[in-house]
Amino acid sequence: MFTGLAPGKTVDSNEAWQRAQALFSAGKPDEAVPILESLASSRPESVVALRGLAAAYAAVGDERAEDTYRRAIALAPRDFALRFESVEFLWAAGRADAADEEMARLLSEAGGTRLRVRYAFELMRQQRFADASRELEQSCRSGRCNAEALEAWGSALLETGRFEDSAARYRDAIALAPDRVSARHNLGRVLLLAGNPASARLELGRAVEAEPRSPEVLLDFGRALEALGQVDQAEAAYRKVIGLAPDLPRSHYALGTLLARRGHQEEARREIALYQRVFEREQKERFQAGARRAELSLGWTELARGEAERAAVQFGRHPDDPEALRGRALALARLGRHAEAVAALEHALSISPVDPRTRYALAREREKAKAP
Amino acid sequence: MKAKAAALAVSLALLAGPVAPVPASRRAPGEKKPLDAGCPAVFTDVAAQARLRFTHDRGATPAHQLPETMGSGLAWLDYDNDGWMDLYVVQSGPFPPDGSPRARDRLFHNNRDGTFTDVTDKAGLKDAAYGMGAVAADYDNDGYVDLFVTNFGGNILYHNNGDGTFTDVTEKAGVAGSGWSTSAAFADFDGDGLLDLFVVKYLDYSVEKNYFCGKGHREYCHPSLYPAIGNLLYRNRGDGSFADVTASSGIGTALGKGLGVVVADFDDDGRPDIYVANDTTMNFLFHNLGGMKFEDVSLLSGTGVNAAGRAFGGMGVSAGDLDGDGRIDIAVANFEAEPNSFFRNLGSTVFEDVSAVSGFGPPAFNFSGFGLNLLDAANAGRLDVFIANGHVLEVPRMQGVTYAERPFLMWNDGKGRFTERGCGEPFRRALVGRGSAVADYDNDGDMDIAVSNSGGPLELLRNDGGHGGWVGLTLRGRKSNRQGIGARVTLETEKGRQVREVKAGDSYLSSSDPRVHFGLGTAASIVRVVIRWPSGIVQEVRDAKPGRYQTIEEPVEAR
Repeated sequence: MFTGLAPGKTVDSNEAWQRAQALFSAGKPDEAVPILESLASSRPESVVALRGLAAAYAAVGDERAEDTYRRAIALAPRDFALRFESVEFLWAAGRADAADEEMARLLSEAGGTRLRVRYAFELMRQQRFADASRELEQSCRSGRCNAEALEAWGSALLETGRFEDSAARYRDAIALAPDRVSARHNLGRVLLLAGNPASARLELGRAVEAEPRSPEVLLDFGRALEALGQVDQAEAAYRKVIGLAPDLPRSHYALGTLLARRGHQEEARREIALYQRVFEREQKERFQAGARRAELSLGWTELARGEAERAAVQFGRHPDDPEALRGRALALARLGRHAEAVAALEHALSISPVDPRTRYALAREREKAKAP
Repeated sequence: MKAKAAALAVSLALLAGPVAPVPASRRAPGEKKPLDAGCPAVFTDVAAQARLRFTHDRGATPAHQLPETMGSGLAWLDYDNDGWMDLYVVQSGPFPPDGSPRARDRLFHNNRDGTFTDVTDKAGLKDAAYGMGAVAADYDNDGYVDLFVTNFGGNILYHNNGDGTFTDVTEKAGVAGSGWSTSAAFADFDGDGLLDLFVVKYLDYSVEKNYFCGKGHREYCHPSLYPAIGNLLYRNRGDGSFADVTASSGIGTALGKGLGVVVADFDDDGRPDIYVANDTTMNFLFHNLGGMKFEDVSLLSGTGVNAAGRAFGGMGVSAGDLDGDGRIDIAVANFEAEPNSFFRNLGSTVFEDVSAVSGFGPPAFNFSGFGLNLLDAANAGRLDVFIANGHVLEVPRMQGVTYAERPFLMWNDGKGRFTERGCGEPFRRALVGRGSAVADYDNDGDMDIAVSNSGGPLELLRNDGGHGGWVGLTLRGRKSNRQGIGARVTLETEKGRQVREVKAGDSYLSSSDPRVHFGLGTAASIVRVVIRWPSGIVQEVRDAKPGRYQTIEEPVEAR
């Protein structure tokens, strides 16, 4: 991601460049933009200057970022680091299709296990588990895969329902790094999911030995014990989890339902009530976050369609949401209502004063508002 | 046995000697093992030859309104009391609904010769709303099965006039509801001999609330974006009208995103309880306390979420004794990346999630289950499970998952351990499955399956197997409701016991043949049948004969 600017031999001695770098590092990419624009215009053939400008544009949400990356890449098509940075920008901007296309080209030209593994992780984020699995297979078949990649491969296979293959990859990861508790924990989980609690208990038991204070591992260990009918041990495991992490809701559910099965209704009800409170809060938060995302997505879609008026109305439904205010400002600006756009951005900045994207947009709108 | 070519071939083969699959070594080079070799029963889609001409119209639009991907269901009912199951199929149609003829549901009369006739117009059925589901039951105990249809918008109650026609009595009955209803079930919740009605509601949705979901192209929005809502419970007053008792019953405060419902007496206390499958929110188990009061025991029972403490996308649901211990278990069809659920009943409304260890859940990981029915597919004396699968997105986000999916037949070993194996061509064909309902439509003693497919053809999967013995029981309530809905029937043979409960409404948006069907496996005779009627009367029947349907009337007093 864009936490800093790439060093460059051509201009890094330049005072302006150093100032831009410092601003960027200080979380003020919006202030770095004019400096970098000036540098890039004075050195139009400088890849470093264009790359820095593209990164700054990306950090402030300026739509010129993609084009600026493209110009930089045109000057240095074999600069694979630059191309990967542009791919990361596209991923972050939600342009997965374009990014994946460029990534495929990059892999065919540059190759490299690390790059492929990184791509696989991104594919998993995109829920393209089969593709991720394929990339990881290609990386790992050459024998240059580390335990982390093997574990990720196991997870990708799990997500495509290939439980046996998934377990095999987790075992490979463990063989390579026997102390890797996460791989053993994941192996135990996939075995539980596949209906093999005896093997799950074995693996999770080893994970517990390695990390006896991990609530998540201990909770799944308890589940394996319970599935095997070892209810006393399961109950002890759940109680230990609650001792370690009283706020982990699933442990209260596990203990509550186990107690209900054992006829201890009163304590079961107490545990279930604890779980239910958190469960309902999480459901509510998830609904609110999802609904907000959908509302804003509708606004951005209207804007992309050129329906600025409708977008402004849509964003206006969230008068205290910084992203909605930024969207509304953009829509208003397109309608030529710059003063209102400035007001929206000022309000956004009052809510989220450190957001460089809002500061940047506000500065631009103020300029436009002043213009005759 | 069936009077059909496949069955005849088997019979002739039996006369000639035992039938066995050709060993691989004796097959000609390149000759493949028959796909259905070893199947205890094979299903064939006979919808076309049965003249069940129906294609679901989901009214898909570029706006991708959520209801477009959820319908529809169907109901088996013997509306003319001729002893043969007729079929009501729910249509969806244009969205937003415009009352166009495209949206009209269909009633198919069973001609008793393997074919059906569309009698919708003759029967006076005019529902042209955006249809979801249907459930059939004789709510007024007049001896004729009535029909309740759920819609996006108002629901409809059709009263069966007894002369082959129906009358829309929704207004008088007061059961129209509003918003988005999905599944429904009839049961006598307060033990007064009258069938009450439970209606499942999905979520708070309107045309105006349709967001733009998807990246690059529009797709159906995730249900988590819409508020959860409460379900509806109506008490039958006995005068043709119902009272909305949602609030007073205690179920109104439970807000969810309901799609499926099944009613069964889970704690064996003689009172029917309610289980609702919710999409992305916790499932509900409402324990019947009597007097039309319910207690929400969803989480305490261990059926609200899965063993890992997570809610899932519950769609279709049914209940029955899956492990042969005499208790009513719960099976739920879930969305993708979630194994289907099997909650084993331990008694006293306490369950154990055995989805993984039973083998019931894992095969479903890459599938989205909707319709779910329990049936003894091979008359082997145990309940197998049919599941209609189909995604909701034309281009599912998750790789390895497709829009159209093949259905499942989960074979039970009798102890609640399952193996997934489709038997017959319909199980190798991918469609977008939704509602499904089982019935012995040809009265040959094995259970057939009707499946409604979103935007696709209606299927009738004829069971060409079932070589085990069987017995079918039609219950006639006197003190209890007329159809004996809610009765618990226990069959005893020299091989063991089987338990069933009579249901009106389960699966996804659907209701099945209300007759009680038992496969007898290798049992030669029936020792006895014990019926616990909803009235509490317990009846023992010692003269039940295998190989036919017989009617059992509720005695006035216990005997």
